[in-house]
Amino acid sequence: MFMDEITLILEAKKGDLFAYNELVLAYQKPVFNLALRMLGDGYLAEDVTQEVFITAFANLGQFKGGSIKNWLLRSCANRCIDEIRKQKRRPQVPLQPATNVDEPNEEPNWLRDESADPATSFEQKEISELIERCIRELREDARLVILLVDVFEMDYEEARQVISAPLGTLKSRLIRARESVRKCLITITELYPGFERYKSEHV
Amino acid sequence: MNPFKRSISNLELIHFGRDAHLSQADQQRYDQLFRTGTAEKAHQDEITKIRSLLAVMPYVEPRKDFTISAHLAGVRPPKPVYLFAIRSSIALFSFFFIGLSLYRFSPVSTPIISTSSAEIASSPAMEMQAEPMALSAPMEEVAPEPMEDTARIVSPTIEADTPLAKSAPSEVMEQSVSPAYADWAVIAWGITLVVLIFLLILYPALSFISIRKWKKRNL
Repeated sequence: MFMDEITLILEAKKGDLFAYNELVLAYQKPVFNLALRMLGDGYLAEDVTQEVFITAFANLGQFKGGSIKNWLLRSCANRCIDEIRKQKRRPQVPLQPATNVDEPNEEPNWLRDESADPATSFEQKEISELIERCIRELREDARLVILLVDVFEMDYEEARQVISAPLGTLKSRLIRARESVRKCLITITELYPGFERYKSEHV
Repeated sequence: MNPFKRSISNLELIHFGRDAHLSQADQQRYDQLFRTGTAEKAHQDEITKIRSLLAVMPYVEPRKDFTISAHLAGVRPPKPVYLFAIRSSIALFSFFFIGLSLYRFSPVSTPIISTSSAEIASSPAMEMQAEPMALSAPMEEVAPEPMEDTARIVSPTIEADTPLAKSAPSEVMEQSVSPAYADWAVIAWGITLVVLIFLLILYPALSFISIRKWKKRNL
């Protein structure tokens, strides 16, 4: 944690919104991406991210030190798990139009990366969607762990702080998550031959 | 060997061996396992590939900033200390003002100099009132005698023409009134009024300025 960040946190704790908004700008990307990967819905992820930052400002007095990024990510993870459980209790039908008859449009247009070559971009997007689908099939606690360790590349200690659980729990969840994703991707490889080629090219 | 029937301990070695999260004993087992088992090595390669795929998943840029406004955060602008001081002063001066007003305008406090009804009627002032102004004597001649310090003050509940003998002694208040004291009360009342008006104008003006400053900084 750099000195400026400590100053910003102290100012924000005193109620300085300007300082707090500096922190928001610095950490909105990881928080939003965690929400997006956990929930799989851009609009819902936006709402959750906004709620996380509003709640975090109100509860900033409870922040006792350490990494503010991890603290925000933990808040986001908890909020996402609540949202997933809520959705399980009361499933909602999306209002977005479906692209195909069977497959709903899961990714809004603004999530697409237009900068790359259209063919590569399409393939990459397809693969990304397949991996994301595999991740979304995991239980929310295992999903969170694999996102933190393998997608956001946090070390075990950081990830442990975010999930607020012992290291053993983190490891067991990580094994379960990776094995499930592996199994899911093997099935996809059988269904989608391009995936194997993509793996050999990109890994 | 069916990969899904591997023991948990072997899976731990496969998953955490690459991350260097193994104890000394586990590290030895890991080395031994990978010297003998090719299936375990293939499994670990798969895990490594999956990790690489996950790591290259693109970060999505948020469509908007999630900065929060004061309204969204439910924050009210802080009041500076000087505003608190002014507010306390307003309360204090209001208290003085009400007290002095009661003293100044209350009938109880108005000194009514009274002697008996006969004395009032025969007093030079009353005589002067009875005579036409043109015939009245020069002011020096008809001027009342200097008021004694121990003039009697009658309670407003007692009418002026009530014979004093009929009223109970307890109903008659006697008070020593100095003209200098009365003047001081009026001056204090006036000063309090002016200061109070000034503070009542100053407080909202400074509040407005401080809120505006805060909004400029935070919004």
